[in-house]
Amino acid sequence: MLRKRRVLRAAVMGLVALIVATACSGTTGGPGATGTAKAELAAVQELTVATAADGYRNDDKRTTIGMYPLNANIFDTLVTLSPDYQVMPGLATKWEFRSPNTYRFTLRSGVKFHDGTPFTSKDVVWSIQRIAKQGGGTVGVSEQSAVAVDDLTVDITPKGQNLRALQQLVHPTWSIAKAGSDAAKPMGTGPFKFVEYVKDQRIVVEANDDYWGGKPTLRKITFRFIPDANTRVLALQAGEVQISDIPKESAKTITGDFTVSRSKVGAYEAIYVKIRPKEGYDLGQDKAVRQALAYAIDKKQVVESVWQGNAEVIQTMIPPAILGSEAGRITGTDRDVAKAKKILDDAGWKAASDGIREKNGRKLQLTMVVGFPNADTHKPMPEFAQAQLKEIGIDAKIVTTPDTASYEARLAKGDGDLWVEAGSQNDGNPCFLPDLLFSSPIPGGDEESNMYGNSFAPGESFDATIKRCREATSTADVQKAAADAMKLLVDEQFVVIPLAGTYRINGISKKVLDFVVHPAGVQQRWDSVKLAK
Amino acid sequence: MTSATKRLATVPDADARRAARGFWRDALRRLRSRPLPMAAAVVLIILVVLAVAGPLLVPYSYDAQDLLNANQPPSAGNWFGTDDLGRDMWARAWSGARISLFIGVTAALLDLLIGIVYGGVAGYRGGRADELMMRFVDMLYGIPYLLLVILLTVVFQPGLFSIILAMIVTGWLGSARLVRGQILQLREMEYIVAARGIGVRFPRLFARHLLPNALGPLVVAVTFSVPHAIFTEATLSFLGLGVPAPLASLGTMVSDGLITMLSGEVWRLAIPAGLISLIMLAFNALGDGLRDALDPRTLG
Repeated sequence: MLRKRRVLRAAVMGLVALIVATACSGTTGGPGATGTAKAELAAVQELTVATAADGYRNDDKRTTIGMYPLNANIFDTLVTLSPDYQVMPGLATKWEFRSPNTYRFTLRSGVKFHDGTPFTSKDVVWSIQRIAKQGGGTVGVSEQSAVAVDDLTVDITPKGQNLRALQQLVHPTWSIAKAGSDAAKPMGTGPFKFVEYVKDQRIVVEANDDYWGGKPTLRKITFRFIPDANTRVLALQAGEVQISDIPKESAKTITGDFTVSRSKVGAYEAIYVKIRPKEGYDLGQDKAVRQALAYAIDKKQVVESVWQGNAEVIQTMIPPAILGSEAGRITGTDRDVAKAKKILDDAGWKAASDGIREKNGRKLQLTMVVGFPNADTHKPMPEFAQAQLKEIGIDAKIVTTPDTASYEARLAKGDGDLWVEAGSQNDGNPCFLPDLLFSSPIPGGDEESNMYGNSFAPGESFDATIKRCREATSTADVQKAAADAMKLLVDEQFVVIPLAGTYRINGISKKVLDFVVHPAGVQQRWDSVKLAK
Repeated sequence: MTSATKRLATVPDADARRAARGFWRDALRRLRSRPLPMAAAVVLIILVVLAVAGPLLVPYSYDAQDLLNANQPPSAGNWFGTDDLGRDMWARAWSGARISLFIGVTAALLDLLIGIVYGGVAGYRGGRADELMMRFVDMLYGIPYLLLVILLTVVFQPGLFSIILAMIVTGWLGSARLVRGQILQLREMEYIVAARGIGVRFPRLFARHLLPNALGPLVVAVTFSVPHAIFTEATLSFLGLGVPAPLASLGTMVSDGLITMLSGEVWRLAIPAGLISLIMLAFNALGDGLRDALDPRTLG
């Protein structure tokens, strides 16, 4: 089941850019992005959007065309996620928790699929079973998990104790498709109908005028898959597309007939320090080294200078908003060179003639692996961090892996001390990322979770916190457990060094109206968008 | 002595007046008479001098960051401007050129060395040995060059050593073929047969008679393979398999500067790209001139 998460997450992050492309007009959005309802609308309501590489799958392990990583709004989910990470009604209007491990959903009545057949609980059961057959997904469902109580009521009971199922069902991989439908011809209830999908080129959707949430203004959306970020922006500058993501280091200087807008923090940049042993890559086992690393890097400079203000300092990995008032409990670290040096001195790491510290004849040389979701996302932060680590006597060697696959291949081997990742929060479960990345590996458990656990799991007390999180019944308890987990990772064990919360930055043609960005790219809605004359 | 013979001896014809001149002096004369290769040679000398001394002319190290002065255009303080971490582009460009030239020249010379030994042995021994050795070369030739180089740099840790190694692994094939061809042609020459006849052994024969006579085309080949190696290095760096940060090579600088196509800091891309072009152009022009000078038969 975690397998799926992994893919989710991988793609999520990999496709941060893609969705950035789509997602971002944001709270700080310019005039083009916000409501101008009185503007005269164009006669032709057809939108073209540049998105990153095609990440859709339709195989034994996953079925995601139209859903994920690019959410083309063909489907609806039972529940949805607000920009503040709250669970909102979707195809389900109400839900209740039934002890010990079940959620009962009351479905919206009068909803029709794109071919006119009515939506009922059997479609939910079928959709959940499809994921069960593919491994059970993030929620961890079996083929018996979804039970139709009546036509408009359905019970969902995960295989294991998992009260976070509700927050996980907001993810578009939990989209509800028509029972018996073919994944290659997506048939959903969403605001847009599937027209055409050409692998690695485009997916095209058209308006569903019978949408239960109201008729969309846009008649047609063409999402073009363009893997290279520069090419996407060039397409925007040339007017071939109306919306594209923009790399954060060029967001300030880029020009063209479009508005640059940024979302709220929904993604992050962090360094994970390998805490578990591996020959040649074991210096992170020394807590003093991890702690010194946390005090070495100037986060403020990273966001203000390296990324020119297109990020903000956060001390948690996950967006602080999802932790509510608990977020403040994580104090985090700021650059303090004297302190970092003292920690290393006290631990017996003494500077040699070349300035690099040594202990028992071993040099303080660390390998920094950069490449998740791709190497370009991080530029030029790693070289900046390298220079700052050198100041406290740590020699960091940068190894660049071009993409997610090569990064994960290296992580599976554990060949590295510092792992630089850009990730994002795409569902409503604050424990999603801590659980996935830092739980102790379980023999025979999920491949991805174990891959991370083998390098970064701090151990039993952390696992206990995650268990509390899975079993918590109230939002406050979930947030508390998630904050405890973060505090352990960031403040106590220094396994995670959060550097920045990042925005989704989009260039949006001035003709595009009412594009409301969602900080989680996969949750982006398109039905409110209009084109001005 | 008759007056006729005296006249012959004292009125030298045009050729004889040029006194005793060797092959190399002739070549140099032919080279000098052509402006383009000479200009290329001058440019190359300037580039090499700057690659060695350029970084010393400014008070910045190639890896010293100054974020407050990031992305500054060329100015009196930073002659080539600064990059996204505020590093001086002049210092980076010339230390980058130094690394690129070092990689290029080292790889080309090592290619040649291996090629001389392998091709020399194959060509001189002939027969079965030649057959076997050259089929092996053909086999390696079948593997796409860049693919193999990328594979090798991934297997070894990225760095100067592994880049050069990766280039040599495939680079020597060309020079081996060239040397073999030359040797095959030369070994039937009368002076070689004569040398063999008086009992000169192979190493001496090879070093004193065969190699010097084959050297012309080899010099030309090296001049052309240096820019090829530089370009390969740039390609690797561009793909992220180049020299490790914070070292700079021209390829990594182009790769880093690509983003500025969008944001307008053109100097970050134009300067390293321009230097690569200039180096390659100069080497090619010089190689062209050398070929004409060393092998006048190729002149149309």
